[in-house]
Amino acid sequence: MPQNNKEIIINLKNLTKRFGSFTAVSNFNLEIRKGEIIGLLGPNGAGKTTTMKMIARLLNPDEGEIWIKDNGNLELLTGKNMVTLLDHIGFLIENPTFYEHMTPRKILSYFAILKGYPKKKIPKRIEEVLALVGLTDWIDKKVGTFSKGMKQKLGVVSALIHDPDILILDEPQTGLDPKARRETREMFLKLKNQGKTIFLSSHLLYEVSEISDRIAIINQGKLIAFDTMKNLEMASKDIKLQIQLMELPVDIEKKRVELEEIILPYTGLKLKSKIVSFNPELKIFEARFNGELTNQRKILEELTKKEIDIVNFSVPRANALEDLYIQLIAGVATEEVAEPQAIIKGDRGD
Amino acid sequence: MNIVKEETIESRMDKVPVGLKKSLTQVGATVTFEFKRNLKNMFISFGIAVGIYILSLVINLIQEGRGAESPASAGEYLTSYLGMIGFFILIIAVMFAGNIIALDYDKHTGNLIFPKITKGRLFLGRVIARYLLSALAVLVYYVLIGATALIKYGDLPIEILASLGWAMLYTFAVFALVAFFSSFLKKTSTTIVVSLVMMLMVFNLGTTILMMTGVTWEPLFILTYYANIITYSVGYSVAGVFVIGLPTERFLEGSIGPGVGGDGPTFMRWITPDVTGAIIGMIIYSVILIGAAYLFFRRRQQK
Ligand SMILES: Nc1ncnc2c1ncn2[C@@H]1O[C@H](COP(=O)(O)OP(=O)(O)OP(=O)(O)O)[C@@H](O)[C@H]1O
Ligand SMILES: [Mg+2]
Repeated sequence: MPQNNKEIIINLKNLTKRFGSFTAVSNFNLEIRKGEIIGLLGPNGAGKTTTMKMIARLLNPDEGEIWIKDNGNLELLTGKNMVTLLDHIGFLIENPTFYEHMTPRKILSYFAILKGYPKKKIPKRIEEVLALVGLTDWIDKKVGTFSKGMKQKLGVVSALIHDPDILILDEPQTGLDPKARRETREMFLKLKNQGKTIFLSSHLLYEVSEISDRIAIINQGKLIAFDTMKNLEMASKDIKLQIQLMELPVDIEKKRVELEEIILPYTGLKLKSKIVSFNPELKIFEARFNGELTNQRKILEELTKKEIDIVNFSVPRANALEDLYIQLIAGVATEEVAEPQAIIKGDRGD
Repeated sequence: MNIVKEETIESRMDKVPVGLKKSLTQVGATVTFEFKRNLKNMFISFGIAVGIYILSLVINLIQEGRGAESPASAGEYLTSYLGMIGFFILIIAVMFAGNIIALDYDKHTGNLIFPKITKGRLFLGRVIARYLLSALAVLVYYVLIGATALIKYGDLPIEILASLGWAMLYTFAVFALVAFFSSFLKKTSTTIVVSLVMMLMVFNLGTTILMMTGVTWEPLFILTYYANIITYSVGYSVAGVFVIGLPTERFLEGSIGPGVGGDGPTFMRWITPDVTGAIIGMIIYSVILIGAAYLFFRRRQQK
């Protein structure tokens, strides 16, 4: 992978945070490389915000270290050097709250000066970034009158006002409507193309899967998977193939058995039954297989050969990972498995 | 590697003001921002100043209307307006210092602000801006009462400036107390309540207990005691005669009970600190409280 050659700019080592006897983040390790987008995925209460707060030094870790690149060297983040080290990082932590009586112009201008953005360029910069999220008309309105989504947009913008090299965004898409979600995703990709590094969290898979180069899955404070989308999917080895037929058969069970017989030899799985199931919601058949493209092609070939009237044949990427995500999380919840560690790929790997 | 290093340093050099300059820029930006943020409070504080002034004016007018003699000198007239100054300063300090720290934790606004500036600089900028606003409100009050006395008597005792000075110092001490509570209490509202209870009840209770137990040492550890010098620095009345300037006899003995020199238990009362005691006392109070506020703030973590 080319990104393995890129320099590490943030390195989290054995991060641990406890609240009383409860461990919110436990032995968390993560390397973030220059120019990549990393998605931190995890259910509610997994420890995403806590992890990001430790990087921002809003919380001090109980154990572990945070290393951040500064002037070409990785430096250990401490209370003393935090201002310099965190200077070229833009943070958005949790749902942002602003001073209600202030306007975006005043707030952003304050933040920009604090971060040392050239004074003369600030007014223009504020207009630029507000335009990015469609808040131009609200530049002089009090934040107290903003809707939740508008505050969220302002939060994202306040993280990038000083044009930082690294963005750490905690659920930047929460509360945004679908159009705004797409626009922010496009904005993140644009920022990535400008060479920025983005570390963003979400509890929704599709928010991170489309833009992230690598995805870190966290649950109950532990990192349970960290790899590219593709590798994670492969690792799940249990990907659902969706098969939509021209017409719904009268006898669904009979059709299911028929499909299963055709597909069974080519799944690449050890499973010998319950390969094909019917999804009554989507009114389609779903077949489990190992996700390899060769198997996928073979299955398609066989189905056509047997003259099954397929109108749609697809592997929804997000779904596959969605299943893995749920599977991994469930695994930890029930068995405390150490096994998913297998899918954590360090930089040493391929 | 070396080349990369040099490039980064250089590109940062023209982007970020370094060292002291940067600190000053950040503190300055914070002061400006805090002024803007507290603009509404500023007008409210002016309103309160005007309100208390009008209240005192009306009381004076009613008394004159009832046929009471108006004070013989401008100084004496001024003291009639300073009866509520301690309370006024308390309200002002609570307004400007109550949310100085607690709010960022209570409303989570700190999540946005803290990684951008050190807590020391933020605190410094806030204290400067908010204290100046508090002092401005006090100044407005003095301008109002000074102008009234000037119109009525045609002159003003210079002691009003001494009184103003004491009021400014006392404002800072009370401000520091409220900021201290704000640094560790969860909410702004709790901070306000605790500050009021402390100033209006706990200190008064302390004073009363001292009076009752008959100890004679000066209550320099009771913050509200210092408010007295604001009024007494203008002057005081002895047997109906107004004397300009601080009293030399600062310790009174009396007795509680009906009539003058009643037969109840005797009490002792300190009426005002002297100049040295007031300066040292209020400075010690301010430094300890502001210092403690900063230390608590620095250690406080975002929840
Ligand atoms: N200040 C705190 N005191 C006690 N427990 C806390 C505190 N902050 C977080 N926790 C606990 O730590 C765990 C992780 O919380 P965190 O906010 O990091 O989760 P998250 O992954 O961001 O979840 P969400 O998706 O809901 O934002 C939760 O169980 C939470 O209850
Ligand atoms: Mg969270």
